[in-house]
Amino acid sequence: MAGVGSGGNDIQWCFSQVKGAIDDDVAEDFLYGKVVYQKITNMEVKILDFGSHGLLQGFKWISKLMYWMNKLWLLVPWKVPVLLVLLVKGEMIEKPNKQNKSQPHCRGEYNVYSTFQSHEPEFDYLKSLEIEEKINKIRWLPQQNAAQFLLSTNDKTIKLWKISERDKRPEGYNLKEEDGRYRDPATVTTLKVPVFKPMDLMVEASPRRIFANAHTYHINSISVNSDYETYLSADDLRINLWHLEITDRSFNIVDIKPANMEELTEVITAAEFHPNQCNTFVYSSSKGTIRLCDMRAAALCDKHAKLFEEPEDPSNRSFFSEIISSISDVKFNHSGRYMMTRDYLSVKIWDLNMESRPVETYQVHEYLRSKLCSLYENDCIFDKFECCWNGCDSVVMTGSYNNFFRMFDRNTKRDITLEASRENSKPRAILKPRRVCSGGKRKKDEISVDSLDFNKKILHTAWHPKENIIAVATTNNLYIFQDKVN
Amino acid sequence: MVLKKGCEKHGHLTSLFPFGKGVKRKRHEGDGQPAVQCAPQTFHCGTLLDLSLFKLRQNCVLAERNLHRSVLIANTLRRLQAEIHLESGCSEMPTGRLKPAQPPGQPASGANQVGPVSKPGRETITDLNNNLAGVTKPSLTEVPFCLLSGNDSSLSSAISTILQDLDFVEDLSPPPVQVSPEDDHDHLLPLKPASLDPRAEPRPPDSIFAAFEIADSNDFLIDGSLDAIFEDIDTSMYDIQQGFPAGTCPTSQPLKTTRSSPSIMAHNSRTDFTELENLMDLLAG
Repeated sequence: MAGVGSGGNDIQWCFSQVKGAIDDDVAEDFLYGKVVYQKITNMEVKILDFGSHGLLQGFKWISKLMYWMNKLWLLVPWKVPVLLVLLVKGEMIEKPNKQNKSQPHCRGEYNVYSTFQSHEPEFDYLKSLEIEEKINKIRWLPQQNAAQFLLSTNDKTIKLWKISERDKRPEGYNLKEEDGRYRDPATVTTLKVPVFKPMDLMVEASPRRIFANAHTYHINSISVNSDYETYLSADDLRINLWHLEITDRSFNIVDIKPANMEELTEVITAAEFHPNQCNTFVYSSSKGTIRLCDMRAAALCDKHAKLFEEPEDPSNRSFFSEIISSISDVKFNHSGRYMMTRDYLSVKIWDLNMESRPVETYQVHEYLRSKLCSLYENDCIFDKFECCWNGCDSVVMTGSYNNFFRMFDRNTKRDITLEASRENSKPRAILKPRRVCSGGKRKKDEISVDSLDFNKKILHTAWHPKENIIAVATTNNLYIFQDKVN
Repeated sequence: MVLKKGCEKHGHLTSLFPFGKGVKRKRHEGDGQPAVQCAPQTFHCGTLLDLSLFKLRQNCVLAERNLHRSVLIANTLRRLQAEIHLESGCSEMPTGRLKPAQPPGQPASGANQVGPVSKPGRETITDLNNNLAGVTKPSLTEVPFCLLSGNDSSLSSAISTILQDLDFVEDLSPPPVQVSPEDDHDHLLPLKPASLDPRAEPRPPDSIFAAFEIADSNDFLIDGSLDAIFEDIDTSMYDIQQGFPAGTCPTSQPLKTTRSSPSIMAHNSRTDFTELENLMDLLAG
């Protein structure tokens, strides 16, 4: 794998790109990568240069991003009044690799590729509830033909989108004028064969399936099965299994709703299919447990096949123990042997063969443990951080506050804290490791816990499946970093 | 280290915790110790209790209800409840008050009495929300979950009602029969829920959160069990006329103020507004 170091600390991360509006109101021209865009207002950015696809509106909120394998796609949903999904396509730039000439470094520079609105806001008249158009999750489907397919979901409805390119169009019809009007057949004196002529690249996104009305509660996860025919969607109390071709029904495979809602003490927080075994999936709960289920055992997978739970550390007990044990994300590694969970303060890696405790635990921001009361009060304790693996499963990454994000090298057991900020955003600028001082004397370059900005949180991160390129989402910006190329 | 509510703009953990009831407490200055920030626990439980109730209530009226959040807060509330109870040292068995406090149709002593943390030991969990969910909390398992004083039962039922509310609105199934707690109302005017219609939104809160709803709602809801929390506070000097329950006073003060004067609580919707004003003058003057 070109450019992959042996661990998070041996790699020097450099700034590559940032997308998104700067907070000030001054209209500026930005040049990042190959995209030149001009900020018109707080809500509008106009792309001026190559890659321009008309008026891009808004960069209000990044909720999710992920990579896809072959084409360096970056998919970023933005919560704005109009624009909801932004596709950014990376272009492979071949650079000579001085160390190994036969293997060129591949570097992606990401440009806006397409934008489309995935969901509309709805109003449920029956319950008098607004259903926001905000997208909660996006998952790619494996590519089977020239088009890309993705599933996107808001709180209630899942949609399958097809994204296709068109770069040629037929010209020279006999019966139609160029503008589309029909010709009088009597005026046709010669015949010609229409030919395809190149045209400006047009990207079309069309909804192919809409999977609606299956969830009473808010959908928090979708996961495509390794059979590439089915997928699951999970809300707070139920998990449904869908077939990608069938929209009018789904199978309920997990239902934890008690007969009496008064008895409700636990909800489902995330669910994911096993990457290789199409009968296996896991779901995590708000009490810090993960259940692995086998769909072959029963139609309704209420009985788990495995239960992963770590006993509570009595020395760390507090009123908030349960809240901070709530799992916000579950991710299998690429082989499916391990899974990673993120709770409020830590990242845990579990071996699927051992249910009693995780095999590795990494503290993300242990200095917050003494601040839980305040974090409960300002609601930060409910923040849902995601986590991700790198391509070879040797490093895991997750976000924190103050626009910090953390990487943990599983082999060397070293970790690093980096910051995504505009100040560090000079092209090829190397990111400096950051340190948080939890008390006592603050050293130079350290930041004290009380100075952390809890409004600047990195909830979503993604790692390129093959390269050391990472994407990190702050509230209003998307940062792309890659390892230093010599 | 303390935190100011509403200080979203700054997002720093440097301001005052607003819910102190004038009790002196230690300040943890971020000294790096991973110690649990819960000492002294007694007062802390109280302020956390208030905070949690507020959050739960807030979640109910948000357009976008978050079940996950509500459940976490409700569980924290139950823990606080248990802890307070533990510290008060009560050890009686549940009184008969509890049973009638539950709406009929519930499994008898099922809902509140055997709570999620009452089963000791870790058992195989088959269903997340059957009460055998086995996360062990040693100290809490020793105490029956359905707590022993009226305070706790009222809170428990309040939590339960809120959770039921969430179901009420979210689900298309016909709503459960909304029967108000029958008992301990002898000295209170009957409960009149603002709306039984699950389609009303924002859904008016009932039960315990009525106390905080006065400023922005014309319907004053009563839950008789709420009274029990404040029965140790004597406000007889403020009682103006018959029909007002002992220990209660209508008020039109907003949330923050009510919290700081626990003797004031919601009253029923028939209270005349001028009487309210008179009482307000009395209280203020």
